[in-house]
Amino acid sequence: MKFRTSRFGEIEIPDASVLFLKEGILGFPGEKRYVLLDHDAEGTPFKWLQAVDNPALAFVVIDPTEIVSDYCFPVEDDVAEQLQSTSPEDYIPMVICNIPRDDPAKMTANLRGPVIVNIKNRNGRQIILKDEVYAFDHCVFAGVEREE
Amino acid sequence: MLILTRKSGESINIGSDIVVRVLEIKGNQARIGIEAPRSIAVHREEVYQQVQRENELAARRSPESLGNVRQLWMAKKKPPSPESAAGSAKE
Repeated sequence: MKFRTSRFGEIEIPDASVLFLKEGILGFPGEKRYVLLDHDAEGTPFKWLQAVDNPALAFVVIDPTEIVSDYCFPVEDDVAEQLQSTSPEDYIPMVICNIPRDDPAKMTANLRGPVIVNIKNRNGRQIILKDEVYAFDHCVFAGVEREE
Repeated sequence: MLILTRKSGESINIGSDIVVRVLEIKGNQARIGIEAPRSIAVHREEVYQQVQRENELAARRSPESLGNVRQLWMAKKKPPSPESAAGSAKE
């Protein structure tokens, strides 16, 4: 499948790599198909969550365990049902990064609203954690610094 | 907007499977109980809005390239220098 992006030009990806977010990302209900790209991210765990149907819409995402090594959250039954998953190992979690243009070192990640994708069928959803242990704006680089 | 007055202990039915009950009223705070199918996400409005705001901000700020971010990540991921590790081990 070929589609256009504002950052990376025209892109060709296997049809089987498209992720389906039935409800979209909160605030962007119209975009439901995404792909994960790793442009300019070599050697880092960052990826682009690029909308297939909106060339300009792309989120920088990261595996949350790269920021908080013991990151974990419960997946509610209704979410598991919607994503048709049978095992916790079905999920890839990612969190959306918020990067100030003038000072990327102040980047934060939304650990409270992870996006999870069932790798077996590529259905995904952004969920909001009920528990308040994780922040909407967790400092990415402060977290890395604290690691041993 | 439909506006209803309810006393403590009274409920509102929304459709056939959602019940909102006023459990307790104390000053300007109300405790609300909600019974809804598991498929319906229930959140405090401000939590929902905050995630939406973070998403919108993230999309608006999304960089053209990850070059700067990659440099920052590499710098922070560097292991601690051997001298400082050896120094603390001797003590």
